[in-house]
Amino acid sequence: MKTATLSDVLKMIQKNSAAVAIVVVIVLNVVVTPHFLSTSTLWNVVIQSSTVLLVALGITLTIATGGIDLTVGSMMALTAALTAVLIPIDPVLAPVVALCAALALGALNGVLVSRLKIQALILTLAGMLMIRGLAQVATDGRVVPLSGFLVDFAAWRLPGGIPSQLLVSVLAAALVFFIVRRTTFGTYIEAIGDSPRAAEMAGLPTKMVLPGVYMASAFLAGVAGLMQAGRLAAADPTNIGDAIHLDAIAAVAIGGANLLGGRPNVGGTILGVLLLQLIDVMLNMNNIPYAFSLALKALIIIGAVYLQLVRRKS
Amino acid sequence: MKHRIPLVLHWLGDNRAWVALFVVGALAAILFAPFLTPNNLLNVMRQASIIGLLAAGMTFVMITRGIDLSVGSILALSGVAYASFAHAGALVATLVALCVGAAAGFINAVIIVRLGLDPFVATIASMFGFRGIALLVTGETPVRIDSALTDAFFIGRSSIFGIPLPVVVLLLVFVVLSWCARYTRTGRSVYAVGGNEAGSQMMGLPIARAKTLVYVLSGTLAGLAGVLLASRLGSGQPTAGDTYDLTAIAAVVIGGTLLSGGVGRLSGTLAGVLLIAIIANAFNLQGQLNTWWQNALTGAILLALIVAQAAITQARARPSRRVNSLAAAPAPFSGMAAQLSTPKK
Repeated sequence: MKTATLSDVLKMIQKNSAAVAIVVVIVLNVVVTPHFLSTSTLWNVVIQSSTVLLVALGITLTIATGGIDLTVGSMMALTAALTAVLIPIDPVLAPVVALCAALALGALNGVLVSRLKIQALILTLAGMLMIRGLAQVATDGRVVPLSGFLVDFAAWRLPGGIPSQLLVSVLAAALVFFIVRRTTFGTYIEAIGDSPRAAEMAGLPTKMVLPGVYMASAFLAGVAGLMQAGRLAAADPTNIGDAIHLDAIAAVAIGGANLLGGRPNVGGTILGVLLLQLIDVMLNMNNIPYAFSLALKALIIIGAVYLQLVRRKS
Repeated sequence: MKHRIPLVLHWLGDNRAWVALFVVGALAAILFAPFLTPNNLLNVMRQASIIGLLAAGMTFVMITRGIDLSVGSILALSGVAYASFAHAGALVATLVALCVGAAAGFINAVIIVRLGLDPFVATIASMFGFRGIALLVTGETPVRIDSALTDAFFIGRSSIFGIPLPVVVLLLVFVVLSWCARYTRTGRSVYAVGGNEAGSQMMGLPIARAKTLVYVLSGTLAGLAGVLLASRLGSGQPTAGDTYDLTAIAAVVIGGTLLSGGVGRLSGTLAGVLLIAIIANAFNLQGQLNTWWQNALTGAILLALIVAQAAITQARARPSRRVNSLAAAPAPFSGMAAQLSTPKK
């Protein structure tokens, strides 16, 4: 009797490993970290995780098709840099033009992946270097100060002190969730991820779906770049989004996505992002060095992904 | 008689990374007078040696369908180890650093082979982990090598017959590993595992051993690269090699190794490494473009090379899958491959 309940609990933990880990981290923090249970901590987590969340949502989609998009960090930088440079010309059109540039590059990624069947990892690796360079070219390598509605929006609070970043995060997550679960496009994404050849043989428009997915990823990254630049009130083409793809991929993996493709798991991605951010906040609030947080992240990624593997096998 | 021209074309196609290298090299020689001086060429080779060692390990990892993103962090960790043990003599320090690299590679292998994690996620995690350890043990500051310890600088700074020692090390590693890949049973099973894992398993090949071996090799070579870098810089930097993994992967892919496993040659990788080094060198020799344009153009050139390489590989693979001369081992399984193609996890 006792062993049965124990194994039930274990199964429950395995099924929701990310959620359980989040609860564990929160409980640990309530005990260990002074002033953890406050709205300012909560908003801090929300604000800091918003950019990674947007990027991770895009990566959730590309991973679901069996691909990957490493250009996201460079896309953030390019959008921010172009916006900062174009704002003196036309403050309203600047972010629109910048996002269009990101969309165009995303479309290029998608077309090359679907038409030439180039491995997304390698293609976006080179794209990442090139787009980072383009972002630097746009501002001539300088950090351009930013002002105007992007900065105002980043600092804006909804009634009740809710940060604007939460609004954007919720909107983006809801939109991606809707696309994945309620549209034909979402079904196509999953079908391509399960088996690209079967999808193609069944007559699915893979050559249209993949560009759409990489455009969505580029767009989400672009919005993340604008939010980041708004929050910092500056566009830094070299440092914005640097290595953010690693955190985003880690979050997607912790969230339970199959990296070889298949059903996108939006809820899992959100939990993964929150877990990684909570760990950062916990170590930060306790003055534990950044190096330690890196090492801890490694263990958590390996542990979470391993638990999912065990579950999938059983 | 009819075969003659296509045979030449085939040979050129098999060595297209080298063809690209000579084309780019010739362009650089025409455009920039100082390019073809022995000094400059040796400089290019010396700069290529660090990435070259990482790329050599990465080639075998990618032949088994894996990837190792942690090599930059392992390089930093072993560089720190080398600098910390330099007082015990260069040989001891080198051995310690190589052991650190091998141990790190073994940890990767355990996570990937035993726990069954996807190599991509596993090595992202270990990249964080090894970097974290390197920063923790050094307190986030570089470890200086005492300048009185002249033997510690030997491997990174001295030359034999005018050839920088790092270049000699690089060439030795490539020659030995090429031989191992071609003529040893282990080398062949590495290709077989990447070409068709299920088939290899049915043939009784030691899959787990081959996979473990490639990650340990990759870690050890990253350790050697860490030694060279620390010895040249005179310090072990915990932040070194931050994006070297990506450059190494780019070099391997330009060299013709496929991410889908089973296909790849070290000679191609060497051409890829030198190609990237020559592009960087050419940008150094010209005096017009600023760093930002150089970054963008380097990315664009890599993108073009990768797209071309992938397009050619796809086109050649389609009509009849020619068996790569080095991938001779998996050939007997190719019929089985159709029946046994591994279902997705």
